[in-house]
Amino acid sequence: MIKNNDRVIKMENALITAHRSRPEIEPDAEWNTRVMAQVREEGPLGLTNNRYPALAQIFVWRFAAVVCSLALVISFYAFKTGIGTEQFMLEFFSDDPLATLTMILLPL
Amino acid sequence: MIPSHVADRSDKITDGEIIGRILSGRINDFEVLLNRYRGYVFKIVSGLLPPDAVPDLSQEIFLAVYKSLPQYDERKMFKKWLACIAIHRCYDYWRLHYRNTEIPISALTEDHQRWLDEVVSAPSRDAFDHTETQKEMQEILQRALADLSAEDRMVITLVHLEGLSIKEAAEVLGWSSINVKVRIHRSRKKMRKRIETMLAGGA
Repeated sequence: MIKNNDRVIKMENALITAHRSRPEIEPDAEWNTRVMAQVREEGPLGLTNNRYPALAQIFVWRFAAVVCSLALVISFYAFKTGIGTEQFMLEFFSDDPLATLTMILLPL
Repeated sequence: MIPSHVADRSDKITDGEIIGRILSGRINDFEVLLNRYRGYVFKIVSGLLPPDAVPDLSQEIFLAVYKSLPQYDERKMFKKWLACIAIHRCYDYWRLHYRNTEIPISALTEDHQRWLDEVVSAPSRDAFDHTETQKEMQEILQRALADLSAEDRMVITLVHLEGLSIKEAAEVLGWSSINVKVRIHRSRKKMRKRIETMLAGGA
């Protein structure tokens, strides 16, 4: 068993040596040309195409965080004070979108 | 061809400056990066993939690098960023080719058997001439790794064969050190079992 283990370790070490002493692979003369042809085919990396979505994403998430915080504050305020007056005002204006009643009532 | 204005001073320009130029539309300047890091990428890829796959995959890597340049963070070292892309591409290669690489042990040729005998009977690992049997050695190595999954193959090649530390391997693969440790233990066990079978067949 020990002898077999020795053989395996010997073999393992030989394979590591084989791997580390492998010959280097050099690109052929046309390799650069092929890569550059593909790069040119891709075209310029327009910043407008690539950076704006990334920027937009940053702003969207920051805006979302601000909106969520604001919603939390308003909810807390409504929970503490009640929303009776605000609800009345909202209904008043939503029922009268052109504010005709308001205009009539204002001089009074 | 590298544009002459770039070729004259290409060794003085930093990677960041070249990337800035490429992003501003001067795509021919990408060849400066290509010449600067071609050898480096070939070295990484040839350590992880079979020799015949190296040029094509290196080409794919540079194309992926070009496409990803807008996402490159200048605070990071370009060379390290490039190495991560190269290693991940090699990992993708093995995920695709894992099932196609199973090689039966019975397919060992006389040359392979002779090489196995030479290794086992040599008094030390340096006692035999491995320059003449390079091809056989590489084929035996591929057979020893043939059963491993893409993940196991990547860790054993990076840590065991290439000599990276567990921390370095974890960093380039984007895995935890514990994951790498577990995989290295498991894959080494599998590889040893495969070697044992080869030796038993060759005895």
